[in-house]
Amino acid sequence: MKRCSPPTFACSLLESVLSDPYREAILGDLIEEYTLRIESTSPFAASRWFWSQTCRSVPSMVWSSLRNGSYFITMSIAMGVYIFMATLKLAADSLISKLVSPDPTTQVILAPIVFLTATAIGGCIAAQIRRGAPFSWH
Amino acid sequence: MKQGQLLGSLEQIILLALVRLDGNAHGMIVRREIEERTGRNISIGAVYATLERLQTKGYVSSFTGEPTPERGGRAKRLFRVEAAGKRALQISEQTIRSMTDGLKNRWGTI
Repeated sequence: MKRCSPPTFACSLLESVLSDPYREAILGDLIEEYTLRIESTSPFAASRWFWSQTCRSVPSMVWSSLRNGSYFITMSIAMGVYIFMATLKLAADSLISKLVSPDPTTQVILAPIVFLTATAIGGCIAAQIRRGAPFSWH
Repeated sequence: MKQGQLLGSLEQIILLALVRLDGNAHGMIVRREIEERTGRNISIGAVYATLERLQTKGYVSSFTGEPTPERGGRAKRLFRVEAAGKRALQISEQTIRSMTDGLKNRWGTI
């Protein structure tokens, strides 16, 4: 008699990664297809197919939930701030090395320029990520 | 569909599969239809992620079906194309057609 239950660990992985309302739908679809495949092929081939679908589906669904979830906005903002801070530090280091003893007027002019440029770069990158990845998972 | 906002290739293929299936279809049926017609072995996750995106855009709608024993007691999520989705497909097709128009004799040289 052929084994009729799909790989338990793969199911648990999908259960933990997928979010509603698609958790039920995806798992149901995979179980249904697995049952059909186990009748026409070997249990090993059916399990291999199930695992392949699981491994390839997880990145798509994680990315999809990241794009839709509010924590993605937080991540984008955090990344924007991080880039802003890193750019600011780089700019400050560069300025200090070039202008060994910059006068206060130069500092007053340069500071907002560096600030605005860094914010724009950080914001653009965060917005780009928010809009969608420049690649597809499939 | 906003001007200049074309459907992605996978979005287009999935919408076409839904139109072909003529009615309510769930993810695995869509995946199978694409595999049979194009030979592309797409993951079920990619299909649902795209369907979710299309639903957000208002091109498809979905509803939950009845749970069945062969699905381990899990319900199906059935999708159908909305009028906006059909319009988006027509615009995409027109765009491709207008861009490829007159290029047939150049394929050999590209």
